[in-house]
Amino acid sequence: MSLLQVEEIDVFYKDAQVLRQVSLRVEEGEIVSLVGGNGVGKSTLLRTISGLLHPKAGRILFSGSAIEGMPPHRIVEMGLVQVPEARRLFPFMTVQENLELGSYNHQARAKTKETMERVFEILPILRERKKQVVRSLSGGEQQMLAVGRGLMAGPRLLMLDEPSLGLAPMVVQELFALMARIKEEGVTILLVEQDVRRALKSADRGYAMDRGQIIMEGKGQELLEDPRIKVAYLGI
Amino acid sequence: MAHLLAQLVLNGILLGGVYSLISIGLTLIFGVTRIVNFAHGEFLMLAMYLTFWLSSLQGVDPYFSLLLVVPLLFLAGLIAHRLVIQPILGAPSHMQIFVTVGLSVTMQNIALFLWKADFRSVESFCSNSSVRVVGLICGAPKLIAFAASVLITFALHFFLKRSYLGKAIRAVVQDREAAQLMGIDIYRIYLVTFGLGAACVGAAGTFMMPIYTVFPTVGVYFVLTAFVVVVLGGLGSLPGAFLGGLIIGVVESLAGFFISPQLKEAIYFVIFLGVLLVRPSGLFGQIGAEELG
Amino acid sequence: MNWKRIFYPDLYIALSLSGVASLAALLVQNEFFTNLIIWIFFYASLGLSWNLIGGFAGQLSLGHAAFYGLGAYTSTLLFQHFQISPWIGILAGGIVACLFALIIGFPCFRLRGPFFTLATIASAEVLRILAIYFKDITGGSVGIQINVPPSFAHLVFTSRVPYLFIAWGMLLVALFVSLLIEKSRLGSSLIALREDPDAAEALGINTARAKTAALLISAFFTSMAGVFYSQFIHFIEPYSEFSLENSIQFAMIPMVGGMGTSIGPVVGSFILTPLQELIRAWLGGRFLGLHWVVYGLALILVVIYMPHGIVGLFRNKKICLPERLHRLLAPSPPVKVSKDKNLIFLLPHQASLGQEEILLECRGVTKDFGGLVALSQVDLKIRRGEIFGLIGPNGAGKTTLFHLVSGFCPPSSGSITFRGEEISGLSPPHQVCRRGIARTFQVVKPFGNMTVLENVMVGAFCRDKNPRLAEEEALKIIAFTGLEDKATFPAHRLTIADRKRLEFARALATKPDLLLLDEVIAGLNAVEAEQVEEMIRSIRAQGITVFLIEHVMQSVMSLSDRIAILHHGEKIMEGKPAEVAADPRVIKAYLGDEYVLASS
Repeated sequence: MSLLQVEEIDVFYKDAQVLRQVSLRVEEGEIVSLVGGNGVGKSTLLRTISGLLHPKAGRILFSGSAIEGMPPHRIVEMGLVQVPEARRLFPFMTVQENLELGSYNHQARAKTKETMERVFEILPILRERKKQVVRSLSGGEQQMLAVGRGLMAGPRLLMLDEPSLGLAPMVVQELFALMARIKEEGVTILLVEQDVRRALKSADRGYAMDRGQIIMEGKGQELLEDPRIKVAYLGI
Repeated sequence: MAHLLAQLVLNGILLGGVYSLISIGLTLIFGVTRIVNFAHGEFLMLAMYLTFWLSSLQGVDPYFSLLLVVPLLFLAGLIAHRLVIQPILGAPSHMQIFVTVGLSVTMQNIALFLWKADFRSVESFCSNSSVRVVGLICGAPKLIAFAASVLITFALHFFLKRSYLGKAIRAVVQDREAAQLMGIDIYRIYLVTFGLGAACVGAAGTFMMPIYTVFPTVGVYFVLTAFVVVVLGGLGSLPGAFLGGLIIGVVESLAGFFISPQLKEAIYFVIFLGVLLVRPSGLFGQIGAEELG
Repeated sequence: MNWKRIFYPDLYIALSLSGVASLAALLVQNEFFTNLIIWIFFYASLGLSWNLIGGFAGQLSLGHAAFYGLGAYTSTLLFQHFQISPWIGILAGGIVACLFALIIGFPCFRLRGPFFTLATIASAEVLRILAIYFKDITGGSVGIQINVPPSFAHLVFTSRVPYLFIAWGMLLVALFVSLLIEKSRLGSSLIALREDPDAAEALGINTARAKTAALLISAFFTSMAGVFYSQFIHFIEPYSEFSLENSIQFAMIPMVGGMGTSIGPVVGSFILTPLQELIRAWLGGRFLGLHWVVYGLALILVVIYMPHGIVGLFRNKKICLPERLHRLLAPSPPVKVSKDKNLIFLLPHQASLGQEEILLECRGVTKDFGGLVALSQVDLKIRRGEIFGLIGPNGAGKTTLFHLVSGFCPPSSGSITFRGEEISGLSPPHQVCRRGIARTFQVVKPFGNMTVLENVMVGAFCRDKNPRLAEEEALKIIAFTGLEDKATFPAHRLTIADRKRLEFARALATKPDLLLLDEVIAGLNAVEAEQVEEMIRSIRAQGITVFLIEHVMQSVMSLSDRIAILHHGEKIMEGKPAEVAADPRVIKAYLGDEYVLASS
């Protein structure tokens, strides 16, 4: 049984169809990457999995339980956590407060202190900046915080929506190293990315999307070498 | 002359404390749910009537009713939110306006039907005493109301800053979707906030009862003032509501003396219109909040 | 003016209802009943007046009691002091109300939603307080008693019957005006700005002027009703004239009946007014206030469960009685949709202009939002007749550039010229549209409650003031964009592909020189994309210049004459499609730098 199984979902946004018969699966312990151009529906897919949108047809199974139609906070409680696009940190709160809120859900709340220690271990820069307000952090630090906040929820599966957006290459490198570390800790990862090469290189498996549909599927390395990827992005 | 001025300003500040107390709940509700609650004044009216009945029937000093009025108003807020507000949370703003106006009208007239239009008032142990502060006089009930206002504002502020639930509320204000992704049940947050807002205004009612009289439409008068205060201070801002209340109190006190007691309301409505036109976000508010449409 | 357009089912229903009611009142000859009918007509005309600004334009005023009271007091005071007949008083009251509307309304229109409503409440309250304060003039809270011998000139009668006819007249006039507006260019502008003010501005509608016009007309008719009230009841005082309760009542009638339609307020009054009178008669004496409780609960329930009012319930059915009635009584010739795809869309002056002219030029255009630099020193030249593509990764600043060109926000520095004229900072956006630049929006903004035809007509009204001409033009464009089967569908029922087509058609209807297309192809399947590409080529062939943002690379590459690419707000390259696609900078921007190294 896959940890996450999306089966042929159709998603509409205000009467218009944005996802068409989308299926994918993520096995426990994997890193799966989802790539595709702008506006093809990658973020919509993540938002649907997280419960912010509900599919009109199809099913989403997490650890065997159907989660389509569940309210977002219940899904987080089950261990399916998203680090949203553009981070969406709480701008007027401190690093520590953001982390605390990451473990708001009941399961994680009991272990807040413990989990925060672990996060500080993995991301020592956050411990340094504990009392600082988010707005004073650099882009890279904010992204680290966003990932840390996601970890605070004690996830089994962590979904990251375009974490490298707007970051310098050195920082992106650190970010991907972080993801490898998270994988070691036993967290499964579903990654949506614009940086195709890095996304597919670090992935066990990958999917490519175009216009609301999955068009390619395969092992990370194989997809990367497939010339169709370039065509999908650049049209020639 | 200076003495007179000082007395007027002091009166204004004390009065302003009352206004702040009423407005805090309104600004909290708006900050979180983004709904302008036109029925806010009716919760005040409800609290005042409850205080009146409790103290006349039980023969106790009105301040004791605080113990019952605050939880009851919290409950009333929860019920009103669940039945009336929750169905329209995502609705366009014109629907929200009509619904809360409808709630306001309904509550006013239930009160009218149950308790008739007569003016009611209560006496408290300190109703007739006054205190000298720096050579100026203030009535004891007003001083107590002002002190309550300060205390409640601080308490609420601490609650929002320190407690987990308070932080969750602030998170919902800053980014609703991100809060959902943290595992925060935003509908429960809305519910609790509405209850809290009602409880605040409930406390306001109890402290105001020894000073004012209650009648079914008393809410209408105060809610318009509360709106002026909240817009002046900035929608969703607690310090704004507190400061805004004080400013309006002082303006009313001075205008009442130097211009005319009958025109004082007109004056701060004019201020209200002025604020809406010049700086709609108010003193402390979030810019953009006024463009809800 | 096509008078047949006016003979809609709304008019027939209203005429029959009110006619039957009047007849009944005359026959039954019961004073209570006649009074009831008078009140029904009275509130219907008030509801119709409110509906102009509250329903059509979507500006919820809860301060209409201000106009009502101004009418009543103006006319009464003029008669008291100068013996001027209330018939003239109607005119005078109307003028005073309009002046007040200008003072209060125009600045308040800058506010949206509940803030506008709060401002209107405050305005009426100020008048109420002033009316009490200036008691030498107005009699203060004691009020003014109107004791005059009955006569026609005095607008006072002993019998109820003349009042009945006057009220009926008021209703018919208000209804007629409402229907006229609804079917005119003003009505189209009002509904458009209610549905989506930004899209309305982008289509050339001067939203501020439209709102003001609606408010003035609304104020005039509301004050007229105020005069009637004073002459009917013979007593006015500040609370009964300027109270918030009045304002709520005027708004409730169209709310329950159906806001935004002309028949809604009439139906609303026919249902609510008798209800109110009956409840008041039954409960009011013994159970004071209970009728308002019922009212309040009704308001809540109607808003939650019947947001489009009673009329809305009927309009949702496929073919309903009023439609059948309409077809029976006013058959119109079948809508002729021309299949001629070689239509000329241009305004006469455009055909004679040269080919090499630089139509749009951006020089050093920079935009920063308080620290975040969205665009930096962008230079662009677009020639007449080109198809110019703009690409770049997410967040590159493409749509921001469109906002600057179309007048939605001013550049921080740099200049934008169109046909040689400086347009940077031109505001509001309708001014840019009038000069010949039309745009679509990345997230489509259809006017959901209007039909496809009505949507496109909004664009057509930019150039043709006459509804019939606008409709003809709109139909041509609808045929061109392949939406003819759906011309009478409400826009909210369209698929995303059709919505994009509609957005395209609507912008085209404004007969632009330059058309800005923001991602019209993204989200379409291959066949639909092909069709849109064809349409774009076709309009270019007729001389319209196209500036497009697109993510669907195949389309951009095959359509564009030249392409520019933005990345982090800067233009990193410009050239022909093949050049751009092969350029390593572009590949790096989209796929990441390691990809470039790996594949080279």
